[in-house]
Amino acid sequence: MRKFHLVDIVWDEKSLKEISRHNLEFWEVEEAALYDKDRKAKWVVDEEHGERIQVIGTCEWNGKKLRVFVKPIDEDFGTGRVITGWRIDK
Amino acid sequence: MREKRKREIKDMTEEEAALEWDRGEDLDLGATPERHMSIFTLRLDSVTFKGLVELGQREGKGTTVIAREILQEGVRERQDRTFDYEVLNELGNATAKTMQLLEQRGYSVPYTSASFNTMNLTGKRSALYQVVSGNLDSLEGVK
Repeated sequence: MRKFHLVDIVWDEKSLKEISRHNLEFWEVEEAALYDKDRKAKWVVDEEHGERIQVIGTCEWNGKKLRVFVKPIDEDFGTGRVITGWRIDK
Repeated sequence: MREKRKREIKDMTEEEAALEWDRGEDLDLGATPERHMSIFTLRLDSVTFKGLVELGQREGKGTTVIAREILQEGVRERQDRTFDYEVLNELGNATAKTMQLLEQRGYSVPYTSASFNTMNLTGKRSALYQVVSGNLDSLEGVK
């Protein structure tokens, strides 16, 4: 199985704006994509957008289940940038 | 002919995302990390950046440490200021309502509720002080 040890999300203005469009806070996304022990992930590649990680995880503080798209930045440092994300338990 | 606009991932529907999930390769994200500080990237003009580096050197601290300290101080200060504003605004609303009530009963009030609402923050602060430092008895004399 492919491995990418995701330990950090690097935020910028654009990614914060994108998740706020889905009424999400940055910490909810971090909780689901980084700190949920039951988080699951898929590695997706296509010609149009290249590589990305889809993570499904839950924010334990409020129970929101999220689908988060992450662009890998650095495999050695385990960093990625959030492309978008939304709730899937509504 | 115009080139077809590239469809972005953020425009994907939940159904499309679920299909992508199904066709994706299982990925092991490893152990969940310990909770730590978040990373936020921002652009700085060269003068500010240089100042930050120099300040860090002068105080014997790393650039990120000094930047974090300055941001923490600034954020706290702004948040307090926002709270001050909220309190003042609520007091202002209550004052405007009180003055409206007094006007309706024929009292002569230092400010009308309409003029109070058009004041800026400093004006409201000073008007508020005048109103709360007076009392109904003194206003009654000018009914």
